Amino acid sequence: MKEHRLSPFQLAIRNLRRGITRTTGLVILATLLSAVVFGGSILTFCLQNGLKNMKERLGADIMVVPVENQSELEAILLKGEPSCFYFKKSLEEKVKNLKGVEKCTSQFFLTSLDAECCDARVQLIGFDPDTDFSVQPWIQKTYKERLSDGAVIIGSDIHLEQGKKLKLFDMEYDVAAKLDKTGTGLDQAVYATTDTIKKMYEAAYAKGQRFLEEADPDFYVSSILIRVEEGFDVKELVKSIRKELGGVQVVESQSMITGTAENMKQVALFLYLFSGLFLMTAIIALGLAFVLSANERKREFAILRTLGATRKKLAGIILWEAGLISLIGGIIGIVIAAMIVFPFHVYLGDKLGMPYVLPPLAQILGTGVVTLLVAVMIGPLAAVTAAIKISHAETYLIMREGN
Amino acid sequence: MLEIENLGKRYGRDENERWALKNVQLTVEAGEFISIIGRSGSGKSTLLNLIAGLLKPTIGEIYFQGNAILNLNDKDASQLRNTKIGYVMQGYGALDHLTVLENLCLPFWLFPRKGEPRKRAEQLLKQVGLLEYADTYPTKLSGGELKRVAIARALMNEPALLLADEPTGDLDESNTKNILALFRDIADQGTSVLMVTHEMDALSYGDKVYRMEAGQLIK
Repeated sequence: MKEHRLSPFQLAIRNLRRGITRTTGLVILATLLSAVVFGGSILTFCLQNGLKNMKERLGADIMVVPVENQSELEAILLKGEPSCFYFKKSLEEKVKNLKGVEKCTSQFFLTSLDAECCDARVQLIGFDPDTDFSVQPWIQKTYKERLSDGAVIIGSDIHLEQGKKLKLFDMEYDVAAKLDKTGTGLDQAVYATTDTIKKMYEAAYAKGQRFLEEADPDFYVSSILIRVEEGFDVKELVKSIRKELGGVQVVESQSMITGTAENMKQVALFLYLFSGLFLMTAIIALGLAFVLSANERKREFAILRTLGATRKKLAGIILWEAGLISLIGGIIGIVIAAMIVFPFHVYLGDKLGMPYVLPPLAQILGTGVVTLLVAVMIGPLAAVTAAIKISHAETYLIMREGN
Repeated sequence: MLEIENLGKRYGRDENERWALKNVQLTVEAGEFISIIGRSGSGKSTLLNLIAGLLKPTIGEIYFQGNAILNLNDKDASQLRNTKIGYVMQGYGALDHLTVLENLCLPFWLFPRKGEPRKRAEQLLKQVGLLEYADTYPTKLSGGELKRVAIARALMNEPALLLADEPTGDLDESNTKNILALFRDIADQGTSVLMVTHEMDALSYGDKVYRMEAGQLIK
């Protein structure tokens, strides 16, 4: 015979093992609860992180694109859907001279061929290094030097590493750097100076890509980016641009961010409501299960009472069991949610069509710890009624019931 | 060792009022074996539960080893039950998810204290003829064996007072005799035994016999 003692914790373990069906059911409930809370929280943080990155990356207060191309611009920025559209470069000069414009630059868009360099078509963005204020500030976080001709910088979702060659329209370009993930469509873009993008254009043209025929980078641009002077009314400048240019779409960055933030709020609200409802349902279901279980085990508690268990100890046994169930379910739930959210985060981001990027590791770990604490507290909280009921039951009457 | 003064227990109020016990006086000396007989519902079990502190009386006082015990708080009353009183409840009070040995050690785990319960448990199992079942789960035991497990567990704390509620209720003649002889031995070793029973045969083993009728204890 083995020498051993049974602590309240070990007694609880024995009880849980005895009612394995009941225990499994309760653990599944706790697992679902924890998976919903953890998964929902991480999804929400991913969206918040994505929006924060998007705000940082846009840089410009106003973007001007050809009329009817606003949705394409948003598709490039949010979903990484490559697109080309152009208007005359001369418009940039007109905008520069408007009152309230602090900085003004333009970009030229191309798209790669299907599966030429990467898994799918990618957006090629050319910027003017002399006037650019939108792309270079965050490129410089990764790449301190001035981007040379023939070199490109790639987004985080392009599967190439720094120092490798990127093949576009039968020509190769040096990958000078790879940017950090933003969670936006810009993660699938390739950046180059306008001189390099002109070479790409010429190579594409030589390859017979006639869709670019009317858009020579010397005379055409895809978008004009404007930073408004501090204190100047953005809406006033928007009006001026519309009046001066005509036939263009003027997009306020803030309104685009606000629109995305509104969508994100709705998704987050849904996630919070779903988690909240699930939390309440789980507490009620767990509570009922614990009360039913306590009723079934009245005689067991009466025996313990005759042997000298205090009312507090009886309540403790139930709370220990509830805590253990919650702990086991909580851990399994977090692991399951992590196995869904992390490997499929790119897919989830695409499906949501919103900026989406994983939060820092510390925040993920913190969320895991908080979820586990919530899960561990929910079990005993749900079991309080059962614990009070059993600890206040009259032992004598229970014994009589049993007989 | 145990003195009960004017003990009464009332259930309900006004028209529904019913006295389960009324004006009970009883003195139990150390090593005395007292049997209480009576019909079902006469108040025998109520009396044992009042003594064990599992029920509060409406009136009266109980002195255990000279100390009034009815005003003890839950912790002190539980500790008294755990360390000085052995209680053999009606039916088979073993926990099915613990082995026989673990069932015996349970009182020690509820109020941890110095000493090694295993040796004592083995000694008692040997005494009741169940040592070979130490690592067996109660579901594998017969009714008589389960009853002996309950008695052995009640003796684990070397109680000053053993309360036994119908300890031979479901047993055959042979098991009944063995258990009554065991109680006699226990009493002879200095533990007071207070047993309530239907069995008239049991009366010959005790030092005193009382009859419980409609909540009143009659010698």
